[in-house]
Amino acid sequence: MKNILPCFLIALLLLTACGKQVPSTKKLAPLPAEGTCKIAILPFLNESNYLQGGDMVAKIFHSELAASGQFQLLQEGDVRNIYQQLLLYPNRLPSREQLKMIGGRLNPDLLVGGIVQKMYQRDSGNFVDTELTLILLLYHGKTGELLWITYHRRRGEEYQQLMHIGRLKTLTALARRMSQEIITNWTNQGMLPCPE
Amino acid sequence: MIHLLLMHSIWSHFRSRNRSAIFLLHLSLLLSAILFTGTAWAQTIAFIPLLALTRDSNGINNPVTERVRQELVNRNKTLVPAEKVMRFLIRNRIRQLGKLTSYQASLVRKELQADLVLQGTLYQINTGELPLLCLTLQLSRTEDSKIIWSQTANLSYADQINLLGLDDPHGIEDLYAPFFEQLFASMPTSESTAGEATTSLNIDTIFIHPQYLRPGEEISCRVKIHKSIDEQGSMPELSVQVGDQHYPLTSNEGEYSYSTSWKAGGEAGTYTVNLLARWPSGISRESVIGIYSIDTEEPGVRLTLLGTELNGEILFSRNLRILPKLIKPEPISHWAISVTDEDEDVIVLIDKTGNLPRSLTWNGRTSYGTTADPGGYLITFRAWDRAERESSTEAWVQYLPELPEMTVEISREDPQIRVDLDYFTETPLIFWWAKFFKEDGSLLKLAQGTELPASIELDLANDSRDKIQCLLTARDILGNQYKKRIRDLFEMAEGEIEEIETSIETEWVEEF
Repeated sequence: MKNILPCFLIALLLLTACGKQVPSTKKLAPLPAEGTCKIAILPFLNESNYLQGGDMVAKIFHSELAASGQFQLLQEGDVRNIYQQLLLYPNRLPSREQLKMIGGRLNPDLLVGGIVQKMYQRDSGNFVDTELTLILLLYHGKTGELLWITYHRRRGEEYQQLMHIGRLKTLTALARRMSQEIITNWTNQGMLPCPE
Repeated sequence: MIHLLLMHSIWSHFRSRNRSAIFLLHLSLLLSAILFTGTAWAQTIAFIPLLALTRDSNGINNPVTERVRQELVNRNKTLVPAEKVMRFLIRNRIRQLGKLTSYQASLVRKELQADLVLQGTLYQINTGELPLLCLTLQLSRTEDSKIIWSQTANLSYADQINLLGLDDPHGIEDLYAPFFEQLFASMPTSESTAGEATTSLNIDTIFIHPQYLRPGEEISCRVKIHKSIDEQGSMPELSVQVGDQHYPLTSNEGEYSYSTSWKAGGEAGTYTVNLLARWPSGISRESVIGIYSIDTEEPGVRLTLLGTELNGEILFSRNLRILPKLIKPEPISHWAISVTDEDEDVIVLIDKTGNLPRSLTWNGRTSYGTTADPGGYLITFRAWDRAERESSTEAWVQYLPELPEMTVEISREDPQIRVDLDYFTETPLIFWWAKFFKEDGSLLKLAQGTELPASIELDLANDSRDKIQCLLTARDILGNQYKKRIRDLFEMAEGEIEEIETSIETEWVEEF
């Protein structure tokens, strides 16, 4: 019995560490070799039941990308303005032709689209449960070609360390943390910042 | 501050008797002033009310907006008065918060004399017992619309709970101090350097029609652009460029817009439309304003009819499944299907927008709600692509919902009774059978086959008058089924009318 318990605890620790917690990025084509300067964030699609979920995650991701200091983010208002002028629906992914038009107007190096698949925040007594599932799509700023796809899914409790310390108790905090993880993942995968 | 010191230094320099000594003293003072005022904030910020996503996609939250404004003032930021900002938003019809365009940012600079514009979005808030506050602020230069600082902060009561429960937050007021400390921690404290002036065209509206067309068709283009701030409001010469061709835009009186039109070329493909602007000062700018596609080929359409084929004809009695398919697949703008009878009267007509349906089912009903008569019908399917090129196909079908028509003749020739069956409908039979039962329920004879006419002979005992019951069933290739029950063959032979049951199998079908 004395030998079994430590083995069980080690096995439990190993099993709990099995969940994939880093963003998964699939590369379909290489990013611009000369680095990425200007990025335009397109409106994110909201497939979750959380009202304004797409707007919220897009804005937080925009903010975190701008705060990283490595890229020049274009104004969200300029992107929305083109959507209005071209009669594009913000809750639909644009076609490649439409992406080319957006690129032709704003002249970015990359366009970033997104889909919020699942998003909820539930107050369950002592804890607040949060979950966010997100897909990000990186398009070439000139041709509209899909370059990278990133999938990321996390729950606030996955950041819990001891007692309730570390647990992310708001969706904003979870979206921020996931955005930072995605930006780090992109950088590690070879996305070069703007050459000064 | 720097300006005041500079003025004072220069003034003193000219007044001084011991010019060189005093000048050096003032110069050192000026330099030290410049160095120590590196953290001062003289740039004016226009703080736009916060977008509150907690309400809807374009909500506003005045209490938090006012609180952020107060925090900025406490941090010695120079702000444009709130009333001026509100009048600016109304005057320029800015209806969406948190999403200023570069042009609107340039208007902030021109009309509010602000160097920076601060926008923000409130994501989550709870002002009750369990307070919660999450928002983003974004600071941009008005000169070039470049984002120079962006920060998201989030804090909830759960983040502030202590082990002993001391000083736990009980309202939003308890969260403000740590929240704003977190939010403004990374805000730049020195002045932002000036950026390059914007080089994009400030386009207000674009209209290019049609976007999909046939060779030789006319394309019209109408553009409205904002007056450029850096060109002192003078309007540029505008032209549209497609490939190597240039089409000058002319002003539409009273509409404040410019328009032009041109004929589409003969080569299929997608063409990019560029807008070129040249100001009197010689500055020129260019921007993509749209694309259009020239379509030279019809998609072509083919029909597959899932009926029963007989001698090259498609027959059906209840439901006919129709599968339309494009020969050269491409997006379709609209499609139509019609059914025409032999008198060339259209009895079914349906047209819908969007791509082709995967399948359609006709159950013999007309668009007027009646059942079509048996006979031949022409089904015509048409589809139009985005350039309004029409493709069509048609096929004849035979609608035959009739029951098989059978005759049963019975004659007694002791010691036998003879049953003659015949069939008069053109549709071939798939099978028939006849069962004869004695009065005690035992089977006397079973006869079956796939073709008619046929004769069945039953051997009877001499002078037997026991009842013989007959069940007769026949089904044609379309599923139409004939059933007949004769209670007593002898009565039938003497001319009595028997009960006849006939039926068609039914099932649920999708009507159109």
